[in-house]
Amino acid sequence: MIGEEKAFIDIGSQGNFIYSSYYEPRSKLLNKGIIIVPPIGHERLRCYRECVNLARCLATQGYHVLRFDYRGEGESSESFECTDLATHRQDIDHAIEVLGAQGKIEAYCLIGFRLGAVLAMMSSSKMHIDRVVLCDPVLNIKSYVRSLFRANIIMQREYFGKIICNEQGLRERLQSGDPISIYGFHYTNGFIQQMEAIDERECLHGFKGQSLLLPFTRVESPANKAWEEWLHGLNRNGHCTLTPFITDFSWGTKKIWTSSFHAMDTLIAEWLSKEV
Amino acid sequence: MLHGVLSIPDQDVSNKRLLIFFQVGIGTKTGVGDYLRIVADRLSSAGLTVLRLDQSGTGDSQGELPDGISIPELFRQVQSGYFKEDSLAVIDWAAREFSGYQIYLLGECGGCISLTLAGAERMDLIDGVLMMAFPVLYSPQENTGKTPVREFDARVTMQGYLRKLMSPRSYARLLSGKSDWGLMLQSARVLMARLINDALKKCGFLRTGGHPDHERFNWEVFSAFQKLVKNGKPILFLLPQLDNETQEFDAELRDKVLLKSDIYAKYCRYAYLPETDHSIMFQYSRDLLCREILDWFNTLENSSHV
Repeated sequence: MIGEEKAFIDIGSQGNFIYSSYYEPRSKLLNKGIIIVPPIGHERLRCYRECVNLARCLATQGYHVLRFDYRGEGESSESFECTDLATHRQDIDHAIEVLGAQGKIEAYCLIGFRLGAVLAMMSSSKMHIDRVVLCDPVLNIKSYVRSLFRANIIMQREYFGKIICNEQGLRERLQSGDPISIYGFHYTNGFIQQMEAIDERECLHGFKGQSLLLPFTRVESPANKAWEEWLHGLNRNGHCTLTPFITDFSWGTKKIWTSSFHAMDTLIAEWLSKEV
Repeated sequence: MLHGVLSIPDQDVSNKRLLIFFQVGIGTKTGVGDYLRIVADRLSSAGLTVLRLDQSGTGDSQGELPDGISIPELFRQVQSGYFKEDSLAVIDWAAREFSGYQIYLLGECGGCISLTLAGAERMDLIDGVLMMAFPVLYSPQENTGKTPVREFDARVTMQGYLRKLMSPRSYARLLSGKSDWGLMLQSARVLMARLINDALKKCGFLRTGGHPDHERFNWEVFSAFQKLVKNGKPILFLLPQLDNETQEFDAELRDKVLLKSDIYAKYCRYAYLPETDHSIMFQYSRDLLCREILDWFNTLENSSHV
């Protein structure tokens, strides 16, 4: 595609690589770089096309944009069961380096989706990036992990007509060393435990920059307790704007085809232009 | 412009084969749980060159699918040949770029439709076809906002309820109205229709004329499929057993047509994949899928040497 470069980027030894898609700026050159930090597992596939179109939209506005696949996912190396939170965070760091190699990038912004939003916050603190956009971040990670177990249980009922292994049984299986399939991604015990060990509050307080918090909601409503906690946490050492995004989009089953979060893309572009 | 990823074998192979994956049509070229990429990597380690691609409007390719369209309606459009032109373009490109290679097409679900329609128009360019979870019927239309129940789902639902026959708690739930009565009744109706149909056939009251007769049968794709067979293209059907498509394939195509004529026996092979779902989500399913594909290619190779 013109203006889009795909590449397999070597990272370290052992033949590992991450797959990246670079979108070069189409208009005025802003010397600002954006990395889209995807969700993990099935949620990455769920919003794949939307992220592609977000990248294209921002590139037309003059930003250097990079999308990438974590190791163990998409076109990157490794199998999913060989990865964990540490490898995911390393891959974000690699993506930032890859984008930096493209040209004169004076400032970066990470746009993270779901668990990718949490990882983006962690990486931005480490890499001294002071702008993040948090698209429907996972507000409560323990609850999110329980939903992953529920997805496996629903799948058992759908295919076998019964629950063969409940959550406790699945956890025992994980502890014995067997991965469990969540929408086709094979999660290991280590990965599950690392996710459950993330302290959201620590991430929020650790971030010192400017952020745009975009929780997804089906109806217009006043800010709920979870949003308020995040807003308060991000404002503790930084500055956060809360803008709920009204959408029917679901991270589970796709019922309607959407290729883009049009209105959200506009919100993000407006926020970015204010911060430039 | 369409975007794809090519997996090339590490070693030199004497028999050069290109396998083109056609994804369902509304996903990406890596597939659910990235299983298409995993399978492609394994097949290329075994000596096959594999091309996976995103159709227009999906994945990284250009173009756009109609926004706001319901997924069942989108499936129906795929089943009507929405991606046929893309498939033709890919086959033409592959034939130019991979001169000297045998070209095989592998489709998953809606991808089978795309490759069958396209393959029938590019008979000279392709050497065989692999069809995974081949949908022989159009997706049912939603009349009341509820998706009609399909046979495999109906069977699983009723098996689940039958297992609870001895459970007092289940009866309490049933009587309290918490159970999904609508789903239960629909499932029962679907299974009863099947039982009556089978009984009438056994008694000779219902004869199948050696041709499909389902109201939603995809005749256009069937016609293209017949062309492939008549032109001697070997076909491998990969049939996940935990899948509505397999149920419908067996009832509407295999039993009514394929088993009734020698020509199909000559060119068609069936690989049923036990304990395997539509999206090949389990590790053992992926292992089995790779084995069946490689086994089929070995069989082709051996029969060509005879």
